[in-house]
Amino acid sequence: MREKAISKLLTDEYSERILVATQVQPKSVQEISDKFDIPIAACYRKIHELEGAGFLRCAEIVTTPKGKTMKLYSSLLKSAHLVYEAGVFRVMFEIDGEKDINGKWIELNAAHTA
Amino acid sequence: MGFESVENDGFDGGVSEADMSPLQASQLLTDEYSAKILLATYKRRISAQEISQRYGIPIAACYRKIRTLEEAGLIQCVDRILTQKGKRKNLYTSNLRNAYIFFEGGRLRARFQLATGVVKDFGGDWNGMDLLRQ
Repeated sequence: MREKAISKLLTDEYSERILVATQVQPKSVQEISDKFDIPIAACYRKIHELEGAGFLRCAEIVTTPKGKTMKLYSSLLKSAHLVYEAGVFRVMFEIDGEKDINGKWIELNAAHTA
Repeated sequence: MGFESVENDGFDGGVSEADMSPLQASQLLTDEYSAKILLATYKRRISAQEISQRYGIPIAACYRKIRTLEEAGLIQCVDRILTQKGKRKNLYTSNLRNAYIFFEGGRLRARFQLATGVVKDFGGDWNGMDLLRQ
């Protein structure tokens, strides 16, 4: 289920750092890896996961002075709220360009029914 | 999606609640097994064996997660009953009443409200509570 995967991605150490890193300015994988201390391979892997989940998008493709092309990523996830009350988990997201999810509470699962 | 399974056993090292980061605190709730255990023990007394069977959690992982949650104070052992075979069985119940995990403005915060009335905050100030009254 997508919402569950999303809340889990959010609380993954590297994913959280990547989302924070790309919140304001688009950044390259190399830059995120260096500045936020994420091993480069893991960084690429997580970025692909986040991109697939619709949290990140490639904002720009630049060419380095050496002639290499480099993708710059920026975060689409503006906010996320996960609430557990009276034995029920709910989540609410604000994601750029996803009108059908934004601002709605989505129930994940409740006690004794899972 | 492919990332449901692996990863994220990061908080198993028995970190005491006082020095948990908001991230570690949130992981107690977003980890699949931990979330199931919290639901299984909500207003109920239940053994590790029973949780494992009903919620499809491997028994070893179940014991391990229960310990982590117990150390964090989110569940507690309320009784040790004797089974018919003469074995001791711990019964657990959830101490967690409400929990809030907010990711906003590039920051993660967590708040736990326990049955005892104790409120635990991770990751700084809490004035975003208005949202919850919607």
